[in-house]
Amino acid sequence: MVNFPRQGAAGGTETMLLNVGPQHPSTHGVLHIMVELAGETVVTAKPVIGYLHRGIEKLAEGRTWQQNIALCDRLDYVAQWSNEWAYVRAVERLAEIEVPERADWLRTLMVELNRVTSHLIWYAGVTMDIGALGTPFIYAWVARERIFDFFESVSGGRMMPNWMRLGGVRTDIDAAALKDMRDFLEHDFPKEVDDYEALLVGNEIVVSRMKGVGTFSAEQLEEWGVTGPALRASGNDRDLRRDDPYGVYDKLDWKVWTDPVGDSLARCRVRLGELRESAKMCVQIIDGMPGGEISTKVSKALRPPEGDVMVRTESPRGELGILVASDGTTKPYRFRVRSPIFYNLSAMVHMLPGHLLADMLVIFGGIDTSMGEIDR
Amino acid sequence: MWIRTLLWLIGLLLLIAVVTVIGVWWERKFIGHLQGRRGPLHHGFHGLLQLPADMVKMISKEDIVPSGADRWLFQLGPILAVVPAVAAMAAIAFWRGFALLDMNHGLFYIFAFQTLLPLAFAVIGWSCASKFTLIGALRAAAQLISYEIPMLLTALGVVVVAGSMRFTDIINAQSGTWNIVKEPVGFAIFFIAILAEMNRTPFDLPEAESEIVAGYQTEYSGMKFGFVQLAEYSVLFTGSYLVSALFLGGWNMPFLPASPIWLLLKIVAVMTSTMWFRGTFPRLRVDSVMALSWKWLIPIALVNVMAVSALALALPHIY
Amino acid sequence: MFGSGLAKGLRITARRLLRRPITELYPFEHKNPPENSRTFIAMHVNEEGAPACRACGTCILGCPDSALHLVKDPEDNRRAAEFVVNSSRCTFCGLCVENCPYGVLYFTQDYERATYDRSTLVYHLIEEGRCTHEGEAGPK
Repeated sequence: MVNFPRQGAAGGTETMLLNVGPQHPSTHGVLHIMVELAGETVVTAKPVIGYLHRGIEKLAEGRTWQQNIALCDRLDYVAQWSNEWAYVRAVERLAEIEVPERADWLRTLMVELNRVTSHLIWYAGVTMDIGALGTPFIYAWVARERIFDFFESVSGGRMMPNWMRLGGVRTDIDAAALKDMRDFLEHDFPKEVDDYEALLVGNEIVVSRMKGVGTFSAEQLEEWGVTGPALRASGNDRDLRRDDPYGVYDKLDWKVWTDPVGDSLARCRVRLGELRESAKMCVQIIDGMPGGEISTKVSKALRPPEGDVMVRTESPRGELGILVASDGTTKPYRFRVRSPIFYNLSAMVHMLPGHLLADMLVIFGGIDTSMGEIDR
Repeated sequence: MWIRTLLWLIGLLLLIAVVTVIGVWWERKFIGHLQGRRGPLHHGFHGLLQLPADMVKMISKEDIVPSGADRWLFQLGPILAVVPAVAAMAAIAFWRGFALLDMNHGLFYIFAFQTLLPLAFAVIGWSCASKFTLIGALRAAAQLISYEIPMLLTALGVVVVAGSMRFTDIINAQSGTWNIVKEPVGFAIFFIAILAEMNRTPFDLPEAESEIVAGYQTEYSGMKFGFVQLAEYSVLFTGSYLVSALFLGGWNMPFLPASPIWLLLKIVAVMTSTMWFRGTFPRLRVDSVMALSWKWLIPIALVNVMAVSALALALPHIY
Repeated sequence: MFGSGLAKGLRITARRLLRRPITELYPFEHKNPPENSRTFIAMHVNEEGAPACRACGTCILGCPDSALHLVKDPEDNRRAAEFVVNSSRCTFCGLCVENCPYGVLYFTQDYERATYDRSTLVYHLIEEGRCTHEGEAGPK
């Protein structure tokens, strides 16, 4: 049990213990933070996680390599395609399976589209937190629905695609659907992102609420292992898609968005920039897509050689690492996830004291939590 | 004589009920369409019966009193909120001399009752033994008290121009040009201050839904919540009336004969614009709210009063 | 100028006000999911009207959630007597449909089977050797 000191400042005031969550409109998912407040200022903050623990790492040991792909969808349920890709790459590296070129391009396309939807969800969440009743939320949702319809026509599932397979992907995408999505991303989507930007970072009220709030330096964040847009907003431009390329990222023309300031407004700008950049990347991928096979044939009862492999990908929230260890059977021996949000959340909660209660929610909006990955 | 008062009282109570029902319906439809959706649609014609259905639901709910709450203050809280809001409507003049109490200090009367609202919110927040409500209540009280001052100062500018605090006189003085033309800065400050007094976005911290889950109203269920909504919509109506009467010319319309229809249209327009703001803007943080009032609005309002008084002395034929 | 961002925000929402609403009135305007959509499954029938299932059990091996149950016909090893789907365990991953070597299972476009009675969630696709529903002819 957590012990909070009851004595406040030297004036003899007491501090107040407030439980933010786990049921709360603003913590994204079931996050419980025990905050000690002196007036409106946070004195200490302790996160309590585990409300969404489902034992995924243990469940994975009881399912075959192919069945685990469906399980990986449910880790970070907002960026599902990135999780699948990390797992599939790990097993392919372990079993030395070659992936045809078209499959690589298709995978990159869907993961970048997933980055777009993930950042749209972030946008919707952050605007709800700061109080814009729901209007930017619904605007982002409309664009997301369009992309989700595309997801459903490709993979059969809107949120849980279960589409990548060891050796390639499950279904192909026909040219008409690709052209449709390309037109949307090139013509309609940038105007929508302009609207999102105007409603968030162009709004003076938002700027007054976010500017200078939660300023963290790159050194502080690196100490805690923070990665992803939260780190890039503090000036460190670490991005695995460029530094350790996989998929077809090295064949595309794109840039990494950073911001030197490091406050909440910078995190918003970086994510909105990434939103635009991902849409542009998707257009390039659709243009450059080669033909060919979509999958190499892999046995459903695959038995990879013994050993373990750790693979890192850049999920929309940071550096996702998946370790798979095999002992030669059809089921994994160990499945371990290095969750990016776990480290982001720990870092930011540790650096929370001194901020106001309303700022706390703005800072959480900048972290963009998704509890499925923290708790697994 | 007392028949007139009785009829007026019944009329006012009916007006409040109608304002709440139609106001909530219009708000939900308007904000819905702002967001690309439709608002209530199925009950009644385009959702008009949704509010009566909600009223029935609220009346039939169990009245929960939290275990640590101060019972007497808990029951008293909504009444403290509704009574000033409703009583303030007694001075509203719908047409020349047509009000329940067309006092020669009508404006002062309304402001006096608005000053009681922070007390009501503080009582409500304290009586529910919950931290969320306490935070909400203190925020509400601080905000409401801070924004009364610019509101009063700019209203003072209007009184200087009109020469009287009676609503009929103030509106009659605008039969030529509206006060918004004579005092644009005053209008801007008054509008911002009245938004804060009505607890509307961007100043709706007291019920900041995403932070403290309905703020001071968190513990109210059933009809108590209904009462607080009633108070909120009465204050919205009164505030819109104040803006329309003090700055937008009341029942006057240029080039057209004066009639109470114009007043009603202006009130609806002001209410709709507050709903428009609610659908678009996020809310300000509590220290920004205080800073805005004390550091910006009050000095500008003081300068405004002095400037208006000087202009009224210097240019009496215009002012 | 201070306030220009606020004015732009108001303009954006006002513009949306003038457009048609984007919501679909769901129970009145029914929406069909795309062809590939993973919904509740059904079984193909062959030309004689018998279920096309060959009782190989590959779907059961593929299902990660133990949602399928197969009982072979005691006389004929390549026919199924019972095929039971427990849709309360199903996560609609689609591995059963994908793994079937004969293409016998398919997705219906039906996603509206919410019910008040939990027993209806466990349903038979083959009962006593006969197909229990109007299966499509197939496999394609």
